[in-house]
Amino acid sequence: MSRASAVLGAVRSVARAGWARLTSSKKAVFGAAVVLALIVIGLLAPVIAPGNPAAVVGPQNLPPSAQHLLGTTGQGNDVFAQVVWGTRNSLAVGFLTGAVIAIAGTVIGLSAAFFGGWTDNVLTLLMNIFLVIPGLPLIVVMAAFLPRTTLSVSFVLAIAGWAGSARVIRSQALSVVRRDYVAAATVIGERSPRIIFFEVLPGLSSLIATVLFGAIGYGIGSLAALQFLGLGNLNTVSWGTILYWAQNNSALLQGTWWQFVPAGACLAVACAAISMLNFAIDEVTNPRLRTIRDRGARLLRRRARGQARPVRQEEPDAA
Amino acid sequence: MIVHAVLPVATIVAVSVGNWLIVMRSSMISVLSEDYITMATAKGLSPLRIALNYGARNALLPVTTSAGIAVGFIVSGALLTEVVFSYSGVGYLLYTAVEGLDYPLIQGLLLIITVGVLGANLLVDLAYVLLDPRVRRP
Amino acid sequence: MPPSETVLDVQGLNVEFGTAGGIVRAVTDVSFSIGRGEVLGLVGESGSGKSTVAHALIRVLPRSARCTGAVTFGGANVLAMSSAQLRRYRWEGVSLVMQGAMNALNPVLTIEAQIVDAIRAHRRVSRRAALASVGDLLELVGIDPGRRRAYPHELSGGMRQRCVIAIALALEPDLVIMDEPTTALDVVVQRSIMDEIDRLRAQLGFSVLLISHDLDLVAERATHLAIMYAGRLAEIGPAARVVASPLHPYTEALLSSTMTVDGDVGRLAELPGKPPDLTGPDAGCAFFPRCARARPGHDEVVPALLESEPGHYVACHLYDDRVAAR
Repeated sequence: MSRASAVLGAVRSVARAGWARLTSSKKAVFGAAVVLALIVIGLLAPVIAPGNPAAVVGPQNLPPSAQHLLGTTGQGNDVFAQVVWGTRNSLAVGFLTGAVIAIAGTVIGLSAAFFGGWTDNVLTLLMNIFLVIPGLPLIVVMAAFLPRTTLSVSFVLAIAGWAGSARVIRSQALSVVRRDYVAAATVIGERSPRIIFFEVLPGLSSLIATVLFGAIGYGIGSLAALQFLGLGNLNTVSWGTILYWAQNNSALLQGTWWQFVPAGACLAVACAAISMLNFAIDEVTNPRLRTIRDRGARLLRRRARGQARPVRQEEPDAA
Repeated sequence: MIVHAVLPVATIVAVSVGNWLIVMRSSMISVLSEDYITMATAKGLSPLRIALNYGARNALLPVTTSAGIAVGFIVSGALLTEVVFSYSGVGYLLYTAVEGLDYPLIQGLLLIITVGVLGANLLVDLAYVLLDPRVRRP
Repeated sequence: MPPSETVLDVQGLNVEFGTAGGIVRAVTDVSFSIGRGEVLGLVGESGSGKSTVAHALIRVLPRSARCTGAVTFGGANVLAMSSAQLRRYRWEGVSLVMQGAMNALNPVLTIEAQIVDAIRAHRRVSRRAALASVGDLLELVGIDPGRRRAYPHELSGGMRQRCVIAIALALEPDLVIMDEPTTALDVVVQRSIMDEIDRLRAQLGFSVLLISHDLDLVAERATHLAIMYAGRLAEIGPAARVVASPLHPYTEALLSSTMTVDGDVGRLAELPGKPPDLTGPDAGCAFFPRCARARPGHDEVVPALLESEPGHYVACHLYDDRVAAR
């Protein structure tokens, strides 16, 4: 197993370098901080807003006050409690859907690229079919016929969303599979599972991370969309269901902004944070995407102002 | 109807433009590090000409390939936007059909939406052939 | 170097790059001049700084680069030119033939369009007039003018290189910088391209800065030869003198590492060690670790470029009387 440990060692050192760059990127830190904060809020919901969020606690449509921090809904529930408890459902189902899509997409994309031939043809056909059919209408139609439980909602979202990830993974995997070291491994006589795990997967790792975060963002957003349309599990408290009840209550017309703005803001912030993490990972893996404010230009400017710097004599590659 | 479309259109545009911006920026950064940009600078061409004819024309190619997928997203986004704005479009109709479980209408609408997206994808593919001479067959 | 009529004069060129790891001095204190009709061959291994010199001469280095020194063309210092002056200087004064023509040509434009671009950026001519001269240019480099509407990917490697040369000559510049013009081609095509360049030079009278790591190729065609090592000039002089009696140990090693078709098949000389990986400040002669004739003390002071014979300069402590006297 020494080759496995060599590969793991290489992955670890690359990961460490990438980690150093990630933690220095403001986008990544901000995104991660926000996501972590939301997770903590969700976990500590019973502490922050004790009690049942679906309980009727007072008169309806009260504006924000000291007693009800974000006012009350059209049914008399405390909006603040609902938003805090809703974090759990939104994030959990979003992460679950994202993970399922990422795993399914990776497995299918890799299989299509690696095995080629009929497998590739069939899987690509499936991918294209699911890609062409627009997501939300498909979700809406499927959700209409299935029972309104959390699991089936997650299932519907995954069915509608796997194709994008699979296609992206497949196209990158195709180029990795064609590389010489994979051909060398095949010629040596390595068996397929080993080749897939130790030769092909490491080359795809950054793409899989991007796909995972994209899928999580998609999961959170689409779940909210589905719940907003009234096709989710109406018994749970989630950001999307809050929006649904607000819409039902004609909150826009009544001007009771506190019933939909907090939940909408939470959704926007959560998705934005996930996207930021995504961009930060993209920047780490593709250094050209970083803004030109890198240390090199700053160094030269400082030097021009007369501060000494260590000097190295080497021509940078591609001069 | 057109006047009432201003707000929904503005909403969808505001949400979608960010993604295009990011993809184009990333593509443009890749293209600008190519040798033919250095050569164009060395030729003494104006920066505008380099940015458009040499940079953007090549950067548009990967962006166009993702345009087909974007059409699908626009249709989905339109559904949500129509429901929020109560704008009578295909999306709103599908929503009411699903609520009322009007199966024939659902089927018909799904068919129309899919045909529309397919047609848009075809147009995008044709546009790509126009843009990139390397995929044309003599 | 006594110039017949100097086209380009470079004095004390330094190029530094700001990188995440510190400031990298790619080119240090390089000086040479190119006279009218001369061919200066610039030879060195990868990483010696030769391409950086070429890019610095027309200021197409990336933003992280800083140049100091003087590059004089037509009485003006190129490094201090305004953008308007620079645009006039580029391509009309000095043009560039890049390595790997496939990457130097815009894949979405026809050859014709790219030539017309270059012409109309500098001359106020109508499109029709510009298009007319395209045919002449293509014939000049030996391409059938009927292929003017072709895209770069439709041409062979040799034809692409000829196209790039045609574009470079479109405005009849005084100096053409050729950065490894034949590296990406097979040997047969290499020779025909180099013959083509010689013929054009005789016909149009431009000077050439020929950059290559292939000493044989350059020695054959150049009037003067400059050898670079670790960003500095090691030796520079008339090509015939440098090849016949190389002074710098590095030049000797380069010359003896090639084979001839006729003659003895002796043992090829080997250069021990690796290319310089200098971290920290300059520590004397950069070639010291690999030099067969190194003596103690050579790694303390950087050797200056001194005239050893008339017109033949070398930067080596072995020829520096002041060091030898120690």
